[in-house]
This record gives sequence, C-alpha cells and structure tokens, in this order.
Amino acid sequence: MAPLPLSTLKWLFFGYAVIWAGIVLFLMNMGRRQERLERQLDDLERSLKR
Amino acid sequence: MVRRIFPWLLLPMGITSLYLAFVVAPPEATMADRQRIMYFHVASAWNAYLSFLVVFVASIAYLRTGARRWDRTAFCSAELGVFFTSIALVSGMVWGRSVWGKWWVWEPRLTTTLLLWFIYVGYLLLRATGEGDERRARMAAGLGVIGFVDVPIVHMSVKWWNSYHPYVIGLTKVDMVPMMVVALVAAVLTFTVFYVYMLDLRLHMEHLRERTQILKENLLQGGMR
Repeated sequence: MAPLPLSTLKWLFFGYAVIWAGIVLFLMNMGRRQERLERQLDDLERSLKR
Repeated sequence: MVRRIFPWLLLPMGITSLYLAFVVAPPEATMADRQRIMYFHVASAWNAYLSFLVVFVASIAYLRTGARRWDRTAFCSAELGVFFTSIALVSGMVWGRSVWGKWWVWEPRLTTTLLLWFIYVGYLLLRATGEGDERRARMAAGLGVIGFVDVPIVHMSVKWWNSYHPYVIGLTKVDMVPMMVVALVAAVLTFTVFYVYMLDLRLHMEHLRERTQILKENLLQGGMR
C-alpha cells in the first residue's frame, strides 16, 4: 500500500484535533458543573444544620 | 488541583501527540500509514493496564483497611479500565482488518485481552447487582485482586505462545525508529494524563452522589418525624 500524501495526513490530524478539543471542553464543562453542584450541596447542608 | 490544571495540559498534549502521530512520524515499511493507529492502540492498552493496577492496589488496600475511599477508587478505575480496554480492542480489530484481512482471530494476545475485558465487565456487573454494600464491596475487591493476574498474561502472551500480534515493545527493548518512539511516548503520556483527569472527575462525581444520598436520607428521616 502506497503512503498517503502529506495533505491527507494533515487533514486527518486537523479532524482528530477538533474532536480532541471537543472532548476536553466537554470534560472541563462537566468539572465546572460538579463544582456548582458541590457548592449547592454545601449551602443545603449548612441550611439544614441551622 | 488536577481538575483545574489537567484540562489545560491535555489540550496541547493531545494536539501535539496527534501532530507527531499523523504528520511527523514516518510511515512504517510494510504497513505504511495503517500502522499509525498503533500510537493510540498501544496508549489505550497501557492505560487499561494502569487502570487495572490501580484496581488491584486499591482492592488490597480496601481488604486491609475497610476504608470506603479505596473501594470507590477501585470501582471508578475499573470503569475506566473497561473503557480503555474497549478502545484497545476496537482499534486492534480495525488494524487487524486492514493488515490481516480479518476483524478477529483467536490468537493469544486478542483472546487474553478479550478475557480481561470480560473479567472487569463481570466486576462492574457484580458492583451493580450484588447485595449489601459491605459484602458486595469485599467480593468486588477479591475479584479486583484475582482479575489482575490476567494483565501480565496479556502482556507476555505474544512471547509465550505463537502469536500473529506484533511484539515491538518488550521489557528491555523497543523495535521502532526514533521518531515513532517519540510519537508513541507522547501518545502514552497524553492518555495517562487523560486517565488521571477522568479518574479524578469520576471520583468527585461518586463523592457528590454519596453526599446527596446521605442528605436525602436525612431529609426523609426529618420529614417522617
């Protein structure tokens, strides 16, 4: 099998890089939502103790 | 700390390792560009080993101390291990189809890896269906310790039995040109950071779930009084 031309490999790299960025941004957003939930839980626990 | 810093590390690390794998690393002599899947296939397999090592260590620690955090760590790491083993199996099948002309062959490396996948899917099923929190956790920890026996067997299967699977990464040598090694190391490092970040997120999620459960029980008891 002949090697692929460099331009095709660059497009493949670009496509996968976009997918990767999407995955990382999704996880970052999940981390932020967890922190928000943790703050809400803290507030709820404090108000229940009072 | 992991939750704040790691995503900012992951973005450039992932893009660099993709660039090294697709643009910088040369095509392999016989497999040409089909070999490029190897960088992510090997990185997934490495992370599967690492995940199951964490399950093994955390399970022993749980059996010795009975501390809930070790049980939680083993459970979350087993989930990630199954995820990475699935990626390794699927990417290996795609590679096998393009190189051997078959999606699957019953050869030692593939068979022992499939067995590994089944062991830890069984572990997760046990967690989901077993009865009693303490008893279930102890049984799962036992399986987490015994199941790890398959990991060295998977790795050495290529050497011990006649296998079609390439053996490029031995215990003492790596049979590749230097630029391929650089691309592979970058992919393995990226996947390792990805694993640590995902494990931290998953552990935090489990911790929040338990807190919510306790809060719910307290509210229900208060309401009944």
